[in-house]
Amino acid sequence: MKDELERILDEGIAGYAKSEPLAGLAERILARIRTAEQPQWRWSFAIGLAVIAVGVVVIIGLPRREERPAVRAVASVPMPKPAMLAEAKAVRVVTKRRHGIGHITELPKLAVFPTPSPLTSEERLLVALVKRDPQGAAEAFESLRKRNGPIEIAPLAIPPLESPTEQ
Amino acid sequence: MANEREIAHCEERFEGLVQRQSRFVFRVAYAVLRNSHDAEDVAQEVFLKLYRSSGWDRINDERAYLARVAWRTAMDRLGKTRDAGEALNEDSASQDATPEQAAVAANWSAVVQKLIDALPQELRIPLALSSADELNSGEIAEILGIPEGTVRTRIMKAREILKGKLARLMGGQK
Repeated sequence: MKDELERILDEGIAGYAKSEPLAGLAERILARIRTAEQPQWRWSFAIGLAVIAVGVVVIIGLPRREERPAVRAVASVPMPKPAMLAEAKAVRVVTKRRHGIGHITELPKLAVFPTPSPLTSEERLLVALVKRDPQGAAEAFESLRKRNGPIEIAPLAIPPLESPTEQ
Repeated sequence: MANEREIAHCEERFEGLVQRQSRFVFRVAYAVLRNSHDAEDVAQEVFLKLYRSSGWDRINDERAYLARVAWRTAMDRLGKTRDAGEALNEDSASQDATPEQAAVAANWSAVVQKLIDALPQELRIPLALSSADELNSGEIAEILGIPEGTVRTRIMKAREILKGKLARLMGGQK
């Protein structure tokens, strides 16, 4: 019984740490060392390239802000007559861009101010009337002036009341 | 040119060391961890540390040195796996059986191994190392950093405990 107990114990202890590694352990160890000892600059280089690539992708992929067209604030100027153009001098018009950098364009400077504008149809009719009948036109202007002038109201006169007893 | 030849020679000697001692390192690690996968990881880690230390070719007793490094690395891993709640003895044939269940199945080797697993660490490790690769008590003492007499005492004590438990189980069987 005692011998059997010893035998079982010895067998159990011997088998406790008895394990063989899988074949090729030394090769696996050497392979891992080679992998771990690869030059670090390769990784650094690869990481650097990846960062640059990501940066480029981000920059390209960003939605571009809409470029607003530069609006030139030009007053409504009628087409100048050729004679005026000849006398015209250069005038500077500055159109502002978004970031304050000015863009300068040259426009003709007119000699007459304010800039003459062509007659309207009503004005042309009036000129024709004056030419044809100056007297009538003067009367018409006078009556128009009077009509538009201040209204003259005669002073109010109230006669005294007569008593019925006096009748 | 001479430098390159020297490096190549050095690599060759290191490969020789790995070929010679990798199995021994594995078995020391296995004695502590009782898991083939973890033991192989430890063996790889030990040789990687050694390669990086660059002092490996000045070691006097490579077997004792490697056993010590393997034991320490394995103990570190054992602490981590225990913290993670992993059970010891994953490779054991009697993985799911308690000593009593193994005794009923008359698998006495499995019973003994279960009983060893249940020993306190200070008794289990010297016993496991003694069975690992025929390490003698002097070598075990050097690995564990304790006197040789202490190693012998602990191994004897471990055997006494195992014998008592085993006798009770066998008596219960008969």
